Amino acid sequence: MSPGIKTEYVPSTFAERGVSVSFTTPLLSLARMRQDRNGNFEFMLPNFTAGKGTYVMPWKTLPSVMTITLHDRLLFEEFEGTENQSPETVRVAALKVAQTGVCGPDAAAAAARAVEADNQYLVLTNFIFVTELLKLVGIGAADLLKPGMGVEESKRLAREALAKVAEIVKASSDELYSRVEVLSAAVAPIGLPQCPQPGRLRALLARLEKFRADVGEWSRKDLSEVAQLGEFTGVVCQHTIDLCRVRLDLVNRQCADLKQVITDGDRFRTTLTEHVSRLSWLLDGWEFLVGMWESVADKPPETQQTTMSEMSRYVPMIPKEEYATVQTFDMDALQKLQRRWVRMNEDWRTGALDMDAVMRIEALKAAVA
Amino acid sequence: MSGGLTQEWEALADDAARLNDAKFLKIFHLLEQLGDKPGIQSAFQRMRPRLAELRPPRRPSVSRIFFRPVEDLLDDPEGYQRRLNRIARSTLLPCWKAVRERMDAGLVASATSAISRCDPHDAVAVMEAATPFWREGADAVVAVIEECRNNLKFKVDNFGRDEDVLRQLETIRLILSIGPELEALKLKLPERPIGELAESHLEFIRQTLTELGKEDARKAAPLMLALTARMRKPGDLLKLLAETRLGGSPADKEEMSKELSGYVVGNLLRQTAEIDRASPGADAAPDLAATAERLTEGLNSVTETVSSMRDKQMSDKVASARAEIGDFVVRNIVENVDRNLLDTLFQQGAPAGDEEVKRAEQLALALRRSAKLAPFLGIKREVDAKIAEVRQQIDKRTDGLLSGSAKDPALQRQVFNSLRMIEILAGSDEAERLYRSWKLRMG
Repeated sequence: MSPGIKTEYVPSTFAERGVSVSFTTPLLSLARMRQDRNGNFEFMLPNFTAGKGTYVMPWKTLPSVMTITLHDRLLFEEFEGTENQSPETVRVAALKVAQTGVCGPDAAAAAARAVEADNQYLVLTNFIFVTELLKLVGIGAADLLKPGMGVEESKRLAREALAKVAEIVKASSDELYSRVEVLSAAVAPIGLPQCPQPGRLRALLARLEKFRADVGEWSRKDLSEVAQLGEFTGVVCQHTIDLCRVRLDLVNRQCADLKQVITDGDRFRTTLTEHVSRLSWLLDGWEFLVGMWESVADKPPETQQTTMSEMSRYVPMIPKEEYATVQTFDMDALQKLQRRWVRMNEDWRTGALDMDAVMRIEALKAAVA
Repeated sequence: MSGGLTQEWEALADDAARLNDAKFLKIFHLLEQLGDKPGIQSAFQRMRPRLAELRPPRRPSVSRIFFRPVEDLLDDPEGYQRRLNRIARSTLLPCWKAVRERMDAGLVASATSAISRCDPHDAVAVMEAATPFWREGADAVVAVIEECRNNLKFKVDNFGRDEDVLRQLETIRLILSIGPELEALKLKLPERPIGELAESHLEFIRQTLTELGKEDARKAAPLMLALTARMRKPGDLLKLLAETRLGGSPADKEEMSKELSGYVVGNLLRQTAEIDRASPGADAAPDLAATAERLTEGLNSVTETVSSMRDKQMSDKVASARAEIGDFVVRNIVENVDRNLLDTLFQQGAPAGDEEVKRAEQLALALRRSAKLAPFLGIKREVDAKIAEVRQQIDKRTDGLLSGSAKDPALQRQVFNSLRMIEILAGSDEAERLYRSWKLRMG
């Protein structure tokens, strides 16, 4: 259960919490998506009338309430073709749609850069994985890159060394290499601890830690009642960080001993995938909030207060399956506060699309892609 | 101030304008450090449009902080108009010199030192440092006004012969007298121009109005004058004033509301009259549309107030201002937008680059803004016809491209660029309809 939050406000599982989706329709922005018992998609919207509660709506009813951008319609089509909705699959779908240019050239370029960075990082992870395995037979990266050694000679040496490792598992070097590729893809969102460059989620966790510190300081200094919302956001953020750190330690420890890849490959892969998945669920939804907060870093206090009030409505609650409560936040009081500080969004009344608001969201999403 | 000196400063500003952003800002900061040299304001005047774009963090000079409470009422000398309770920027420098001489030197020195120690981004610290300054400043302005009345030579030497300057000084005094309350409230409200207000914001305004009203009901007037100048829809505040209980008699409040409404409406009319001074051109269309939108929203917000004033002349002026904005929108945005947008989006022989697409988006948004305003400005027929025309042209030109290879990424991007424009102009349903149709054709 999320720390300090009354049970009624906390989802039981990550699946119940849903995945945050980078929609560009203002009223859907930061909505969470999940599947009901019949496998139909439903969306959870923070109260868009600034009233109490959360709206749960199936996709089909959304167009009767609001105009949905073409980007969101195409993104939903992508989801319909995917079996398991997780933060990672949703991200891949979102990048694919954004690259078409349907939400503007900046978002398209940012998505293309993100995909390219993912691909490069996968190659790097693969390389580090192989060099770490070669260490098991006494070959280090330096041995493969000795001065005067040609590329072909390096490759030959690597192949021979990998074959020696493969012998230990009684597999061919091709089979071992395939296994490494699968593991690299599984760990790439976090990255190996041995990698000089952090993986995407590892980097996000570092940003989240800075965000936590900033929000904590801001809440101490801010003189308005919104400081309470900052405190709430900071506490949930801190517990998310704590849980992520625990998971990350497990990943680091597991990856420090790559012998397991050889001795118990299947178990290694299963546990690694589980850790990466949990980390990605834990961090799901935070990146946009961090981006929102960074975008108002130099703004006047009122802008920061309004942004904090808005952000606090979207704080990803930690499900009960992941955490036990320690103290109680008065959520009713916090919700009252949020309502006082939220400026009414005009388009919920008319159903019309506010393109200026859409473009602001697109710009923010491009910045965090 | 000698004309020659002013010209030299202006020439320096013009030279600086030819430099790149970094060097331009360096010159600006150097000029800032020179302080209140005669004629230097004319250089800042020339530099202002580019500074407004670059928004450099400004060193809070003492005079700037002193006049911060009146910042929303300032007009450039050429745009300044009497009887609207506004202040010409050119009044500030002589006012500052005269006021500084009449303030306690110790207070000026301590305020100067406190302000110079503040982080310019820390608005609360700056406000706290300046609070005693504004209170005493208001009294010093009273002394300056008295001196002007009693000593013609002093007045002419410092402010010229125009009597209107006394009215400007009186506005400065009124606003400075509520400087701390006004600045504290501004910190709690959204950045200007203020659009929508949350419940918390309305409460802050009510609270400040009530507190000032208790002290002296007349103090609500300068607060409202400054706040309405920060609002996109100043009429919303006039309605709030009507609903708020202040001290004093109902008749006084009615009188104040009426006077304030006159200023608000008059100021909107003045800005409308100035609209034609904006430089036209294809690239300016998005800015012009934003200006037209701001003025129309402002006029819409005072509709109720104007009708309650039962002033036929005023009603006629508002109606003619709407017609003027409508005419301006048609001439400067609607008339040529189709050609500009299509030329930008469909470059000959090559797909439009990202910058071109962004420019086309801005033009489409300008047209969409115009459509939103059209019913209020009496130009709905013209705008609707133009949107239909642009839609048809985009459809036709994109259709012409579809004979190419469906796998060509450049073609796919061009199709999505077109869909983006259609979505902005005609909505998401129409964009989806065309997407399905074009997708079928592309196979």
